[in-house]
Amino acid sequence: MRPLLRFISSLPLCCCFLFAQAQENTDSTTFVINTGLELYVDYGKLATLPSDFESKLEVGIAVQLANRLSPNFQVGYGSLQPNSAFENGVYQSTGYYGRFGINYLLPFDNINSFFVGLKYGLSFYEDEGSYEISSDIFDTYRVSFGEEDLSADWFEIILGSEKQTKIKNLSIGGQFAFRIINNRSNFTPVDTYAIPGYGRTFDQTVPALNLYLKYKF
Amino acid sequence: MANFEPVKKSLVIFLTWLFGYAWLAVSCEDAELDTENIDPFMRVVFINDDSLQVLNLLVADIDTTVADITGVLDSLDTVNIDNQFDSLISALDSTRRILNRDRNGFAATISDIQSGSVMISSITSPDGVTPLIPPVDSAEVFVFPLNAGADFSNFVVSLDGRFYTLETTYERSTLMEQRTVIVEASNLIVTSDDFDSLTQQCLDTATTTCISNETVVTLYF
Repeated sequence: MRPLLRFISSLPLCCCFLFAQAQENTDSTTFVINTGLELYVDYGKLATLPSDFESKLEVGIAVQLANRLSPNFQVGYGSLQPNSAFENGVYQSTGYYGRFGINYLLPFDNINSFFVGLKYGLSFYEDEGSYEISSDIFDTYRVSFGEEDLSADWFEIILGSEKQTKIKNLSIGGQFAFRIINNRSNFTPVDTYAIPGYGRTFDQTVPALNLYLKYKF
Repeated sequence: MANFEPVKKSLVIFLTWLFGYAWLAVSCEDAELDTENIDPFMRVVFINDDSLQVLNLLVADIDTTVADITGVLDSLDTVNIDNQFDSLISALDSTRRILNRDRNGFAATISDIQSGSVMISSITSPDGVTPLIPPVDSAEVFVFPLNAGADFSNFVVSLDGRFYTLETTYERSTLMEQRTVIVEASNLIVTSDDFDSLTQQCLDTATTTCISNETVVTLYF
């Protein structure tokens, strides 16, 4: 929990630092903000597709405005099979999610920029699993469970950076997201362990990392 | 303007390492299921009460006899002025020593029986799929697994050349404990048995709802 608290407490400091740097650069450099429609894909999630523990896909769309604001929207799919859900069983959650929010651009120079933002996320998913208890004398006790039509929503605080590549209109970036759950379904004995789009539910908050490629039209 | 190239490089390196770390952490998760030694159970102690009663009677008889001999010896000591009773005193004293030795032997056996140290030939269940393998040597406390899939567990125990039945009921609750789904049995009741008598107690005497794993059933046979 301590690293998470450090991360939370460092967010305002990071924001102040980025604002200060951006302001300093603004004072001495004239930035060109490329306004327009942007499409991006999360390549970090694409990398999970060949794995056997999770499959995720996320794409997004954003509009960069001249006033540095960037309304954005992402949709994604996630199928999560975390082996660490519990010791004597298997668990899987599958579903679709969407996030929308707004970022504020903090140009560092005409190639690199930082941004901060806020998002709201909503996930529709289902989960299933099974567990078993073996015995020295009786048959192994096996139980399957599953819940459908589940939903959860959360808020995100975003801190990220982006770099214009040598390929025209193509940028590469990454962002930290600090997610705060708002509502989700709870179950016993096996609670929802992972929510597509949000992540693992071991706490009311969870940090996340997104890596993406972005194309600007 | 300050040179921020190192900052940018550090950021890229940090992001790369963080992503790599997250990937590694998730990839190395242990996929093996750990399903053993998490089933509910009760502890059972067997006391050979018939033998205990016989031995207690024997010890009581010996104690009475030794007390009588001691009384006689005390009396003889006062009248044995000319040592005319020496041989009788010696014989009685020898008998008392032998009785005391036997008494100590019986007392040790009583202690063994009271501890519940017995050897069980077999433990089976009519609802089970395999017999439970009892310890090859005598033991004082036996762990009887309870059926996690039913509200009852019945057993047949082969002990001292006889078969005894033991039937139990309990309430089950499923819960997550240290990332393991377990079935906890509580309010265990022995509904039927072939034993002479039984007592039941909880290891945690402060609790009002005794879970099976802390229940000790003492069976007298």
